[in-house]
Amino acid sequence: MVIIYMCYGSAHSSVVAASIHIGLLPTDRVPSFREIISLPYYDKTSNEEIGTLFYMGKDEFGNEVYIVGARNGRDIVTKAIYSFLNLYGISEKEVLVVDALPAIGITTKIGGIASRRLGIISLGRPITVYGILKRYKNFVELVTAIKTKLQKIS
Amino acid sequence: MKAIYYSFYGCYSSPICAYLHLNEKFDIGEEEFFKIPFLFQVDYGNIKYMGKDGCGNEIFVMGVKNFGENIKRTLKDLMKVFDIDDDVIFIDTSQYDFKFFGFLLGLRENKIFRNAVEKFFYGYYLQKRKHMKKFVEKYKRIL
Repeated sequence: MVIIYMCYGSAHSSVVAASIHIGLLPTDRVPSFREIISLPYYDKTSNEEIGTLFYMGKDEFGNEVYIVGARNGRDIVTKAIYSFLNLYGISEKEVLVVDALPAIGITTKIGGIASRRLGIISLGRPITVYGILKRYKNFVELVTAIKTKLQKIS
Repeated sequence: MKAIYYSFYGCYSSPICAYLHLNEKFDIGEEEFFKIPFLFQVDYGNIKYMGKDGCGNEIFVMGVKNFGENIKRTLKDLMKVFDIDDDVIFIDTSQYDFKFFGFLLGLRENKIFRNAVEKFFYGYYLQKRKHMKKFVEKYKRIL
């Protein structure tokens, strides 16, 4: 199965959720600043790359985990993904799109705008990490729910 | 091969262009015009099948709001992820949509304005039909 974590720009919330999913980040404690900042694709994606699927790794069930950005069109992009794959006989059992954006709060959003949109990385990036750490529990809950769902499916 | 005609709403210029693609005709009569599948049916993100052209290409329409480029990138990457060996061409028909389309579409829901709005929609097609046909023919040659 392919799991796609989706957020605004595939730079923060989807990266963190996917990293928890594949075991790059812990579920039993809040990670350190350094652990977050060193994640692949964390606060790196440019505007032109939004929509690109980035491979994050495999989970313990052998599912491939990807991240993608969809700006404010997450519902539309999700529909398009399922609809498109359906044309090739690929059912919803083979792909799962997860909206990771609701897991973050306003702090990460502000940091993300500063870093990705305004290019003030030195200011924005630490703010995004601070926001992620503050809401880390949300991410763990989201991934736990997804994994429970995956176990039920399989 | 698949061709997906898309625009913001995906329910005016896209179905018209797809219909012109599938039917070898220059003019669409008023009655026929309003029978074009998916015309005025807003359904963002869903790829809807219009038919097969003479060369066996499957023709679809889709409404994408302002996320056309995002969606194209994502779907093309999905093809790699799932090893889908097919040619898909995305055709942006937005240039044949017009300002206030959403407003007019809303107005069409009102019985009082419906007739006038539909006349306008058909009239707009008549005005643009030459360009639309040329536009579609260009892509048909590519396909």
